[in-house]
Formats: sequence, C-alpha cells, structure tokens
Amino acid sequence: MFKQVVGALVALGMIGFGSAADRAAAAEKTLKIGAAVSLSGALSREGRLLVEGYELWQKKVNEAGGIKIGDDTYKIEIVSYDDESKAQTSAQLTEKLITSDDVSFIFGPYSSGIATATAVISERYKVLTLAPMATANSLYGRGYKYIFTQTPLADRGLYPVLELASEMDPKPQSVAVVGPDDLFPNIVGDSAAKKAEEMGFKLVYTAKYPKASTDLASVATQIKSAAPDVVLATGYVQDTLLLLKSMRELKVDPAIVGLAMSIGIQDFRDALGPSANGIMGTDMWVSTLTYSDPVFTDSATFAKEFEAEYGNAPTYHAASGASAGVILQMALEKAGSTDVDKVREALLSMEGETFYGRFKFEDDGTNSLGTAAVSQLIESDPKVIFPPAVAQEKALYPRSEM
Amino acid sequence: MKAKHQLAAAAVLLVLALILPAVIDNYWLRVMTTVFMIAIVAQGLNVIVGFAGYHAFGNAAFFGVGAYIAGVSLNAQVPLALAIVLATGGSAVVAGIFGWPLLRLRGHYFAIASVALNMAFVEVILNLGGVTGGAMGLPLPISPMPPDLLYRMIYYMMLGALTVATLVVWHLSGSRLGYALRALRDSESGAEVMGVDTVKAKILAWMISAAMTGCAGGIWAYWLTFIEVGSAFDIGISMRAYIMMLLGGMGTIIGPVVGAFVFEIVATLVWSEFTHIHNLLLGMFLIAVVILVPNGIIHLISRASARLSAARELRRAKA
Repeated sequence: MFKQVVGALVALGMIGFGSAADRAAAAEKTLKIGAAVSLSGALSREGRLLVEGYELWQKKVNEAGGIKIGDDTYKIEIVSYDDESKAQTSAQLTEKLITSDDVSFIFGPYSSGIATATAVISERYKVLTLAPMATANSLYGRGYKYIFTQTPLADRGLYPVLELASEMDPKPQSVAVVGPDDLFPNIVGDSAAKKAEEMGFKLVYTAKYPKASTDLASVATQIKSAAPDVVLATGYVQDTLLLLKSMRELKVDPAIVGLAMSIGIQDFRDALGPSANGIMGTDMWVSTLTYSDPVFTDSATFAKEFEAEYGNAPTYHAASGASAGVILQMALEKAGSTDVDKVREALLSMEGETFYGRFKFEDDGTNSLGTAAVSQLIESDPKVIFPPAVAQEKALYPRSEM
Repeated sequence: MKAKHQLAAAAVLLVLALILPAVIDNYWLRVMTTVFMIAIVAQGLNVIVGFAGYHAFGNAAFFGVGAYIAGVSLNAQVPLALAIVLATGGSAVVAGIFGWPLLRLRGHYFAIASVALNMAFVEVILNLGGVTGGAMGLPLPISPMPPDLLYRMIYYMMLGALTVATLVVWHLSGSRLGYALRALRDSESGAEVMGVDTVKAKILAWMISAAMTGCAGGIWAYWLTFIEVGSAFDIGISMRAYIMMLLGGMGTIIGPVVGAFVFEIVATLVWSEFTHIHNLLLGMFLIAVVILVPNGIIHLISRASARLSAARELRRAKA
C-alpha cells in the first residue's frame, strides 16, 4: 500500500519534471517547427521520405544563415516524433508539440487519415499545419482554417492521364477504373470515373477489390471482357503489381494503362521489369520540372542535393516535404512575423512557385494552381510525357504489348 | 494484496487523478487520458481473462464496435451521454450474441476465434459503407468547446468510466458470479459438477468485458473525431492492454490500472527521449518485466509485504 502511494507520487513527480524541462530552452532566435510523422509501422517508408524532405529544407535554411522575419533572423529547428503510423499516437504527439514544445507551425503527417485526427487539434489551438502529402478531399471540406496542402487533392489524381488520353490520336473511346477499397484509392477512382464520363469517354467497367487481395485474376478477366482502351488503376504498389501481372497472363492489352500512385516508385518499376514498357502514371513531382525557387533553385538541383545528403534519389514525398518548407518560409518572410494569423493571411494572399510547382491557396487550404505530371516507362525509364510544357518525350501510344 | 487494501490504494489514486488536471499541461492531460482509456480496456480483459480464464486476444473488436456505435449515433445528432451509453450497451449485446457460440470453444481455440471476430468486424464495416463511412473512415462532429475545457471533460469522462469499471471488478471479485468465474477458470468441468451454469457465467463475463471496452471506444471516437477501421479495430489495442494486465497482475482489482499507468508512462517517456530507438527500448522493458515480475506488480507487492511481516514476526519471536 505504502509503496503504491510512493510509486504514484514518484510518477507524478516525473510528469512535473518532464513538462518543466520541456518549457525551458528557447530564448535565442530559433523557430521551432513540429513534425509528427510515421517513422515506424505501416507508413514508415513514406513517412521517412517526407521527413527527409523537411530536414533537407531545414539544413539549407540554416546553412544560409536562417530566415529573415521582420527585423530578426531565425534559425529553424524541426522537432520530429514518430507517430508509429497510428492516429492515436499522432494526436498525442501533436498535443505535445503544441502544448509542451510550444510550436506554432507544424509539418503534417503522411496519411490523410492520421492528418484528419491531428488537424482538429492544431485547429483548436490555432496552429498552422502544412500537410504536403495529406490530400484526401474530406480533410479540406471540414471547414478548417489552419491546414494547407500544395499538392493537388486526391480526387484529381488521374485527371492528367485522362487529359493526355483525350489528346491522343486516335482518341481512345472506353475507360475502366479499378482499385482497392480504401480511403485514397476510392477518392481517386470515383472522381476519375466521373471525370471520364464528363470528358466523353465510355465507362465500361469499374471494380473495387478488397485491400489485401492476393488474387486479381478475376478482375483481370472482367477487364478483358469489357475490352477498354484505357485502364486506370488506383492501387498501391503490391496490388497494382498483382493486377498488371494478371493482365499480362490473360493478355489484356489496353492502349493506355494509367496508374494513380505507383509509377514514381523505383521498386515497383524494378519488379515489373521490361514488361512495364509503356505503362504511365501520375507523378506528383519529377526531377525534370522547370519551376524554380530561391532556396533549392530548381528540381534538378533539389534532386542532386537530396542524393548527396541521403544517398538515394528523392521521390515526390521528399520533394513535397521540402517544398512545404519553402512555402512556409516565403509566407513567414512576407508576413514579417511569426504570428500564426499573420502568416496565414500572407499564405492566402500569395501566388508563387517552388521547385515543386506553382501555388495559390484557397480559403479551404487547397492549392488552386497545383498540377501533376504524367510519366511513362519508356525502355524501363520513367519519362515525363505530359503536360507538354515539361515533357521529355512523346507519349508511346498505343503502348506495346505487355 | 487484500481487496480492502487494493480499494484503499484505488481511492488514493482516484483523488490524485481528480486534482491532476489542475497541475498538468494539456499534453500530459492527453497522456493521462490515454492511460485511463487503455486501463479500461485492460480492466475489461481482466474480467474475461483474469477471472474467467478465457484469453480474448481480440477484445479490441468491442473497442471498435463501441467507437462505431458512438460515431454513428453522434452523427445522427444523438447527445453525447446517450451515444456513450449506446456504445457501452451495444458492445455488451454484441458480445452476448457472439459469446453464445464462441465461448463454447476453450483455450487457444477461443483466443483465435476472438481474433477472427475482430477481423470479421473490420470486413463488415468496410462492406457496410453508408453511415459507417466504410473504407473512407468516419468523421465525427467537432465540438466547439475550447481545447482546455474539452480535453478536461474527456479526461473526466475516461476517469469516470475507469472508476466504474474498477468498482465493477471489485464487486465482481466478491460476488457469486466472480466465484463462479474463478471456479470455471480453474476447472470448467469441476465448476459444472458443482452446479455452476458455466455458459451463462462466461457469457455474462464477456458482456461485462465488452461493455467496458466499448465504453472506452465510444469516448475515444468522440475524442479523436475521426475513426477508421484500421485504428478502431487495431489488434495492438488488445495486445497493449493484455501486457498491462499481466504487468499489473491479472485477476486483481487494481492490477490492470497500475499496469496501464506504469507501461504507458514508461512508453511515453521513452518516446519523447529516444525518437529513433523507442520500440527497441520498450521491447527490452517488456522482456525485463516478464522475467522479473511474471505475476504482476500487485502480486509482487503482496509477496514483499508478506515477506516483510514474516520477517517481523520472526524477529519478534527471536526477541
């Protein structure tokens, strides 16, 4: 009994000590930015790429001497925690970042589901969140004022592929949309199907298969009998691989195969081998984009510096993270203050570009100028084929047999 | 430790918990709310595992059921208090319905069946769609209350639920049902021979367990404002609660609460200090616990105090 009481008191003491220690520090001009991102668990890979983007921006800024905000120059300190790919943990850490670490700005998590749970907390405390990879439409439809993303929202995920398809000669007539039954793929797939019909394509087949499917032969068979000119797949890496292999075995051969999210991933391309030739997909970012900004100059420079720092080529996750930093920096400089509401106003009044793309934010936090490119695997190499302004090659159309 | 002593300790902890929000910041408030939440789940496990001896690894199923009942109710403009009551009662009903067939299984067969039940619920919600949001997740209405007030209210809701759960366990430990459960834990056929209606006792135990777990899930849903099957039916919730129950001492009254507190506070401190190796350190802590305190903290304390008083007796006898 006595021991239990003592134990409880010791634990309480630890609590008090912990928060007091957290409140100390600060004094010199450092701007703390919080980041609770998945470094372990199901989303650890994407989370780590995103954090590397944030941190590369931090390094660049500090090497250049910091950010000039009003009359002061601030160094950047990113306080990052691992949310274990769990919403509950992320919520707890967001609270810690805001109330113990006293951050006024947060770089968001990778997943939209997790961001939906944390955004409500930062909203309540009026803390500004830049969530470059949380692009579910539902997140920006809740009336939040303090969360922004510069990446096009999920529902636009396959629009570039459809736009490209409509410019091909001869124009493809029919479209099939398939993908796993999950938050992100559903948003991408449903809106692509709607958009395709609006654009005059004939929607001949749609399917949602269970997320953890290990056999997609039946889906491939259905696609074969519907014989669409365009197959749009909204899946993740594993299931998309499975789908494409099943299609190859059944000799399903549409003129265009467009993917929503796997094309930018090296492992995916390696696993498909030469049979992937001609497959295309939306790429949020490619290193050949020609937009520029004062921090990273352009995408090619960003890619080079990222590779020098981390030893591997950057993906769009990292690029979006680094560019979120650049956007925040621009807004801070324009606001001339670290006051959250002033920075928010600056963000809303700006129109500009980073190496990642152009931006102009709407009241709901979305970017009305956000665009994505389409890459196609040409001789196993991803080449940008759309939009024409940044294209490296002409589209391979119709694609050769799988 | 005797029930009386445990209850006294619980009362002291409760008083501390009641005044705590006045002295801690909102982050620690959230940590403590999480402690209470997971302690309720551990207390729920205590009923079915610690008392009845049925290893319900998949008890997170009721956490999810409670969360979804509360979520759907709140979206239908049901007042918060009623939504939590529905989550609690609904989870108990679900446990009653599925307990009827599942509790006929014994040992690891039941453990596996309970995990399967958890997985089945995930599929059901995914395919139901509609009001549950299916794979898209379910956003809940956002309270307009300022954070300081709202998070304190949720803290006290969790604390209240935990207090009730602990009182239920205390009552159970001295009740007819409690004795029946312990009898069937030690020998099910033996208990039957003695005239215990084991089927009824087991189902009641699981319903109580599910009610506690579902209540925690319901408050959690309101707290988080966005639920997905992945986070609501996370088997990790059961696993963590299970570890806490073992750490504190299963079959005791406040063991699961103490276990939850120790585990969660250690996990949180490890987290904030060692961002990159926290899982490794936590794993080492768990191994140490299993080796050093296999029967739980409460048993350790009882044993230590028994040894102390024995030594005192011995000294007195020698003198």
